Amino acid sequence: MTRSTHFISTRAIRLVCLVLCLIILVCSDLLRPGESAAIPTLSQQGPGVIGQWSSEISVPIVAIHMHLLPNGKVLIFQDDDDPDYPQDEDERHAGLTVAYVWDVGSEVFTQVNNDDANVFCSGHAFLPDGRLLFAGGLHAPGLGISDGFIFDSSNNSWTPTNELMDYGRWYPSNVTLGNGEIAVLGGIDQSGANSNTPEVFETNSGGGWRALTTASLQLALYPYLHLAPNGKVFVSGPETTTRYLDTSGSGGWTTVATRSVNYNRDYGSSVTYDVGKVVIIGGGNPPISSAETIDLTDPSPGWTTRGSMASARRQMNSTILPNGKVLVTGGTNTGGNDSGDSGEAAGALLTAEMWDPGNGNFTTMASMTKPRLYHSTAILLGDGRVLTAGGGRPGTEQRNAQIYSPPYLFTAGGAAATRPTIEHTSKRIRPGQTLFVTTPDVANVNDVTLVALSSVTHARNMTQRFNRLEFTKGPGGLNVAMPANGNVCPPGFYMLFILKGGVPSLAHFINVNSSNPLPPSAPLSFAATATSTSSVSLSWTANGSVDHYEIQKGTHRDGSFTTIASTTGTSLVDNSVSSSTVYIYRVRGVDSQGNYSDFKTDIASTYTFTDNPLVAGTTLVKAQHITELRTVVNAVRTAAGLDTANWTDGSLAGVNIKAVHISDLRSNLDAALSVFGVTTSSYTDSVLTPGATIVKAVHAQELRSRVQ
Amino acid sequence: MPYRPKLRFKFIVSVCVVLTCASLTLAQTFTVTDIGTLGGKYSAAMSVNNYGEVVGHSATSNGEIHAFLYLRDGTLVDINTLGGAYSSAFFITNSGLLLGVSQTAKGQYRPFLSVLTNSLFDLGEHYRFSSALGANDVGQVVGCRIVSNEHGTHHKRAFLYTSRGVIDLGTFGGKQSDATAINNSGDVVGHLYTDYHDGYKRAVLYSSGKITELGTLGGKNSIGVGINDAGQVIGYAALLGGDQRAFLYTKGRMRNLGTLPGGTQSFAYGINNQGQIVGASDAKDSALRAFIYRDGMMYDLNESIPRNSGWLLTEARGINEKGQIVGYGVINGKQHAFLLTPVGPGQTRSKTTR
Repeated sequence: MTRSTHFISTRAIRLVCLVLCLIILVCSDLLRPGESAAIPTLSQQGPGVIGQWSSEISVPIVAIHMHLLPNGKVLIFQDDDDPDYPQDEDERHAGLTVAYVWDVGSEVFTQVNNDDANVFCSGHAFLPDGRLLFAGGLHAPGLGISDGFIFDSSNNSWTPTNELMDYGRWYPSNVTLGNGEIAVLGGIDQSGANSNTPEVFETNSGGGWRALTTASLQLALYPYLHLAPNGKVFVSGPETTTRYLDTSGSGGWTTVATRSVNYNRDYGSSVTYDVGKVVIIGGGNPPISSAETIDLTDPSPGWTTRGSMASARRQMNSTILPNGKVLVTGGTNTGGNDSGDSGEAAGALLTAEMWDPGNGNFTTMASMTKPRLYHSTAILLGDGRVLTAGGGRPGTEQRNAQIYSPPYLFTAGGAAATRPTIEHTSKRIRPGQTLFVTTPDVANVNDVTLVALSSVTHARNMTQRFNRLEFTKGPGGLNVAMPANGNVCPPGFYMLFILKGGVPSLAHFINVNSSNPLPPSAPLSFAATATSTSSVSLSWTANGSVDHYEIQKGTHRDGSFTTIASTTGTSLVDNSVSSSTVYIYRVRGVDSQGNYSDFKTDIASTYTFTDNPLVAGTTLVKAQHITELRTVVNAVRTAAGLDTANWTDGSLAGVNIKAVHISDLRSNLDAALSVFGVTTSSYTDSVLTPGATIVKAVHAQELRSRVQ
Repeated sequence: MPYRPKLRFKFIVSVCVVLTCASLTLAQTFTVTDIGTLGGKYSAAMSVNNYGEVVGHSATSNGEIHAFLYLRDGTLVDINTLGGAYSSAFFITNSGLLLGVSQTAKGQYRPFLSVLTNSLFDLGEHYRFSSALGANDVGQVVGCRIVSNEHGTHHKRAFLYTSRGVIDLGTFGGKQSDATAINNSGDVVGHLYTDYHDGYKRAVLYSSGKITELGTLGGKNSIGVGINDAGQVIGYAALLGGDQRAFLYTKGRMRNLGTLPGGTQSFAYGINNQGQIVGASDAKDSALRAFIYRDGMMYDLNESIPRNSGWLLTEARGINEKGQIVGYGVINGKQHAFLLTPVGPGQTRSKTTR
């Protein structure tokens, strides 16, 4: 026994030694004396790992405020002291905002000044209909105004709110509430005093302001605000005491928790990266590198330190991406606010960092070429890239921008990644409804996310938030469950992304609002019937008012569907078909707002049958008839994404046709049809008893009719 | 013997707890006068002089916001604007000099000066002032001007207006400066700015040409708000974590005045020559509440008014030598300006924490 053990041990040791020798031999061939292991430096890593920055884009102003509009364009503005802008010296600060709408794709800038007020240094957030509400601004450095303005991207207009706010505000923050109202907190008034009383813009009362008179509290400039799942406004900083504002009635405060790091994180970042989850990153003077998170869905929420950037930063922008990660761009590792004047520029950070909420780690990303310091901005674009612009003023003015393409837009080898495609879906939907998203990438989609449009200034993104949506896969598309709770998904415009292996689609801009019209009802009695091997007739019955019907055709449940017609009628003939093919047809109603009904689906096959039609009481059912039906049923099953059937008596040669052969066809066809939501019609002799029921022509003929 | 240090520690802790939680009585109660509004939905009082004349601002019936003067006879006077839709008065001297800010017909905001109900004098148009925040009984006014530096960038610079002209007070050692108050000895309080644009502020005392930076309470910011004739300075300053505390700077030391029980922030806005300080502090899970600080303790003014008054006093902004206090609070769900007038001994209980 002992000998045996010793023998085995000796063999094992010899084997290990042999492997080690081989490794040393291989390595000695790779590493010459004096060389170290070749670990790629950051600059050597490809865009599939660290992303890629575009070249610089010239911008006519310093984009101190930047907003993604519902039409995909970008609104930027700065104060009125643009030396290129004609004005009388005495009019400086008197009320003028130099603004542009920027079509990033075509690089066209359209000037859209607000000639009535200087909303520079205002707070901003989106109303449920996609218009942007601006609260405050300035009349002189550090002194606020009481004005409210609404920017409408449909006509690029600025309209004053019906009422002035009770309190002037310079450096306030806005947050959209679960009911579509907008709360504005903080700021400095016309006299230089803090505006301690929050106000709520009441969208339901014609646009008046309601002062929260029992909720006076002094907050930092541009406070970090988040809508919490309980409907309250969560103030996460920059001070260490974090709290809830209840905006109901005249308002009230409760303390939530003190942050774990006892440091004022001014000019840091605070991001709602998931439902009820907030991360606060960096900030302070001098800045720090750590991040802290809190989960407001916990019964007793508390802050936890989670991850640390490679560099301490302030004045950076943190942007949530379609995959739920947070991109940190720009900023400085030194203190001060003024580029070039107090050391801020000396500490400018060109490398980006990516925070992964899954593990809390930061990863260093590619470096841009221009510093983005005080007065810089960054937003997520609809194409999944991040636009960063501005900086300076005071300090070196950055009248330029760069666009960052995250690693998900590249393959590991650096080629452009193949993106999933959203073909069609509604433009407006109510909370809690199911959104059908037509895509040819059904089989490979593994994530559906919703990112609110960004509205940014002074390192504060006041509107971005993230939802990961539940979904199921259906024929040709995804059934996506929109959040029902307005506090989780406040009313407004969002970018909907579908992701395939982490690669996002282009965004579909969608409005979520309980006041959106209900989508039309799906048509009734939809039937697709092959009338020959080269023609299919379609018919349906109206089910309420629609603008028109859209008819689509495909050949596989998870494949692409092509819109073959839009019609106001209730029938159609499709002559663009091939023989011996199973087609999937579907029809839906579309209202004047572009809202879709659910689809109604049917299949049609253009196969040829022997002895067609089978005459009841005359034609004997033969093996050939059953074989032909088996072929078509298997084709239908393939189109439905099902395996081919296991037939009783796989070969019918020399076999009498039995009831089980019909039963097999019925059950396998019904299983395929149910994939498409097609209701199976009743069969003659619904129960076929083996050895008892005689197979009749009607049994085979009604199966033919069902698949044709 | 081995246990004595522990016992001593326990004893000290016990004493501290008793002191911290002790109920205190302020032998003073106040009547509350609702100053009302100029027809709009809210008002706020910012300053009161020794004659009981009050200034502030109020919404008007047509939705504008106008400065007001509240006279001793209870008359509320709309002192109008420089032509625009907004004005606010935030200081009144014993000589009846009013300071504030007003929008002009062209939409500009300009500091103004007025004498009681006389028309407003545009300090911006005539002296290119950006703000005028404080004045004394001999007619000296302090505030700031917006000037351009060599890069063409605008920034603030403190000034002092005297009968001999305008004196530039420099930048107090920072990048910008602002003067907020001046006493009858000509001592000026304000703050410097660490940067050219919305950097940190540091409270400063400017006396006889000497600049004294008053420091902070561990954080980055401190704001100088007021000064009495004894040279005591009030304001508020940040702790390391950013929460702010009212301070009293006296005899070369900044003293943290604490908060009402369980509070996280406090602010001192007014001081009289008796060293009585008024301001606002939150308490546990509450909004701001008006306080008075005297004899080393902070008292919630809501406990010094009739219990059935219906008022929630949120911020006290000014106090005169008679102990009258002005500010604003909530009555019947609306924010209104108030005037508190002392009426004699009372039963006010409160706690204080530091």
